[in-house]
Amino acid sequence: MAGTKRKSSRQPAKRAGKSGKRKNEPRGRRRWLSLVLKFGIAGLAVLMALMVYLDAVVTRKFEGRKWAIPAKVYAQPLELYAGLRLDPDLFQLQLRRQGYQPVKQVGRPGTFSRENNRFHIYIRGFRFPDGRESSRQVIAIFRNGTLAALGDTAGRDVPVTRLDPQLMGSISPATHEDRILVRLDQTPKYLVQTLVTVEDRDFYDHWGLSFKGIARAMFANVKAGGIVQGGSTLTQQLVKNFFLSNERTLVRKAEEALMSLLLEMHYSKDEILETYLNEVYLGQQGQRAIHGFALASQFYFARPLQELDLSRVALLVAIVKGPSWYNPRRYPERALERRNLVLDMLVEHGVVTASEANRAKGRPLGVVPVERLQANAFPAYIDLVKRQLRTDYQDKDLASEGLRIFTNMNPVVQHQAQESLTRKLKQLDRKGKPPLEGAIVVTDARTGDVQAVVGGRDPGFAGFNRALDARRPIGSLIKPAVYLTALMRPEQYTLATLINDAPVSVKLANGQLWEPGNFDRKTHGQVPLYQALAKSYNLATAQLGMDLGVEQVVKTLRSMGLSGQVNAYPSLLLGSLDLSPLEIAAMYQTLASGGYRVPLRAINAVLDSQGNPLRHYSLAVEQVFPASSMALIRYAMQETMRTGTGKSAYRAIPDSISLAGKTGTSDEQRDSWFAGFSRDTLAVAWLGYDDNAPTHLTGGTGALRVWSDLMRQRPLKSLPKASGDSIQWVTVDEKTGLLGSQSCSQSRVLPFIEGSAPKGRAPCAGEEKDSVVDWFRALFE
Amino acid sequence: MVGVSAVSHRQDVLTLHWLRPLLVLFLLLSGGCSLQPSLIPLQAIWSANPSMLIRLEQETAVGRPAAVSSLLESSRQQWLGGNPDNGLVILHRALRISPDDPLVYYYMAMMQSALGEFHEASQLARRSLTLTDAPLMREQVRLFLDQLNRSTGPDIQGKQTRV
Repeated sequence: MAGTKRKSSRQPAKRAGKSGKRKNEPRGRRRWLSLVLKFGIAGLAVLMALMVYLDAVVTRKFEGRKWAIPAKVYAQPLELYAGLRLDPDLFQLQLRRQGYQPVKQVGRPGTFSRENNRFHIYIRGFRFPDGRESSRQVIAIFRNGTLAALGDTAGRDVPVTRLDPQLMGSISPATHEDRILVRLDQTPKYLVQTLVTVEDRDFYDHWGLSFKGIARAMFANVKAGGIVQGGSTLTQQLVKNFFLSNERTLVRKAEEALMSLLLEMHYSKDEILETYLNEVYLGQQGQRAIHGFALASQFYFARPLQELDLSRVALLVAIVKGPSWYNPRRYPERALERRNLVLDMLVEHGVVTASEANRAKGRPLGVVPVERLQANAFPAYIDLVKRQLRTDYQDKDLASEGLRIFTNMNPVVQHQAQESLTRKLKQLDRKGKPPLEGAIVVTDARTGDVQAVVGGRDPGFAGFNRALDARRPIGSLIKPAVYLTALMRPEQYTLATLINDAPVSVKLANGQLWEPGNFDRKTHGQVPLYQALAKSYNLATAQLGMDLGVEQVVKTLRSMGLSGQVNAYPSLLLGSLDLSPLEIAAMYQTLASGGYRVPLRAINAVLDSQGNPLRHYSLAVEQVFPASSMALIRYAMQETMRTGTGKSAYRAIPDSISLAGKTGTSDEQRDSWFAGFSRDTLAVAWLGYDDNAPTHLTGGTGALRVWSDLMRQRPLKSLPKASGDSIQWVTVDEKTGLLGSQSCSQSRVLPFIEGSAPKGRAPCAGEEKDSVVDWFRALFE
Repeated sequence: MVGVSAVSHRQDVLTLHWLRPLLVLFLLLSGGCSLQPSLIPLQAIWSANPSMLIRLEQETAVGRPAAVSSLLESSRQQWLGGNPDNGLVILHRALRISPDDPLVYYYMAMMQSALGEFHEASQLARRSLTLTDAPLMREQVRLFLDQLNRSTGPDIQGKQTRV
């Protein structure tokens, strides 16, 4: 049936003859043409719409802020001036940390030469919070651990100059993309030529797509029997990374082509190239993605991009092809081979001469080990910076606005603190026990500048920051507050006042008895107040604290800088108060700075991405204790170091340096503390286990050893002797606390607030008349 | 110094305290030294004009590192040029080198005052006072504090700790 039907249907057509066919043909073609036209117009409209859309995407992203730029955090710049106490070897170490290259002939910024103790340094130019300083050459001569002379190359004295600050790290966005922006005119010689020669030889001739390049790549790939060369132009690579995903489909490829054309229509070759230099992915450090040549230069060579020589430029360009495959740290042979191939290409295309390339090939890769990388090597300090910044900035601004944050971290002190903690913890670790943990905070004793923060035994690990977050019972570190409360009442208490170190029993509100004991489980009877602190007697302290009133001690703690909730229980007098090393440092800062509360400052200034100042964190001081009382408490704390629980510090530190400090040990020796200061440096050290297990260490056998090891490396200034209009030095008999003389077996000259010296005379002192010696002594005291 | 007690051995010594200046003078003269009192009379009014500041810098210069002198000068120029913020940044550099220099604190106080931070200015000036014995310097700081208190009222004083 079907065949019949078909036949029958054809017949009429045949019958219609030639004239009918002629009539239908143009109509069909017209219809078809019309359809094609309609589809064509519709397609064109869609294409136009797509172009308009892509054009908007391209221009919006390219003209707006291209990247979220993490805030860059800088250390305190090293000030150079005649009189600076700094070991020349430490100075050299710091130069190397900052990427300064030792050379025979100093000729460009970022290099130095050393001949014995004479340095010739070409300091890099830098924009500081107080303005830009140009690069300059200086001659620094060291003698006996001091920078003895500083001058320029013409022999003129230079009163003061500074190194560009060390980059400590960055505050990255959630994407973990990190980059340092660079302008095209800041790139080193050869970078652009090398990149163009290797990645896109027709860059300056094409419109975003290079058919020549594709053909060349196909030929090379066929010849090699695999993919050895890509056909994408630099513009296409940029579009792919900047606007599109990594999806490998035809649609995405078409989008890439269109956007490349649009990019080339709108922007100059230089603009495209500059964006490429900043966008390209060049490596990975943990979660941190290294983008752009400027950051890659720091990441691989620990020096600014501008200072790279031909061999290093060639290596960076070599890495572009595959940052993981050609990772020079993991696969140095592979990276070397590729670098040399790049150098050969430069010779082939006349960019460099064969001899230049051969010289560059003869150089090692020059990649610094990841351990030497200073970026993000100080997570505990950066953590503190972030916390202080959060009061003024939102997290997203910190991670995206390209802020430049200048901190007070002293890189030399920071390294010394890290090394001391690591070294001493290794010595103190006990077999069969987990590794002991610790933390250190170091500040300038007078200005409160936070010079170093170490958050654990692995200082580069950005984990639990014990310096800020380990709140542990402070033990006897609280005692200076108790004794200061007493010494603020000179009519009642002096350093010579006898305190009874005898059993104490206090009935608490809950009916229980509080009966503390001394560490040595002994009692010591009547002891002078200063000695009770120096020897850290618990019973005498509890007795004194109860006489003063716990609330009064809390008031003193508040004046010293303690914030947060405090329960005024009697046990507070012996340190049942949980604080972090940073909080202890804040409180002891008031003691170190002579009664002025000085907020600890980790940040000095913040600049925006253009280098305009946003905020300067200025020194603030507030006098909270009279100088006279401070002189007395400092005397007692100096005695702690000379004769008390801190005396072992002088095994490491010369006894010509007068120091003040206090040990602290919590119940069952779970925490070992030491806090102390010289005239210029305050440091707090804590040791303990994260699970709060007993350490078997006291403050003196644990934290003090770390503290001493750190302080012995510092050029310390001695604390001054108590002096001032309101201080007088008087000989007392320690047995009675009365006026004494040299005929007393336990006489001692102590400082007193004027008018507070004992009036009675000890029996041992007799009714002695003026001795000429005493008269002269009094004359000069 | 106030006498303590007639029974005090110390007190016996102190009763002769009026002889001290004479003895000190005698010792200095006999040692071949001489004291030259400042020939310039002290100013009765507080002044922050450049000549007074330069005079202060000169009169307190003994023992000051050249680096700090240079930074003090730079900060003064920034301040007088209308940029006390930058002046403060430079003074912080000076403070890192010489944290006990009273003039650095005094300059900081004046610059904070110029920025309207009167309480900070007052505290810094008071700290400066505790660090200096130089008569001109002490006088200028006291006059500055007086002026600060007059122009800002009792608030500044109220916040200060009695010492």
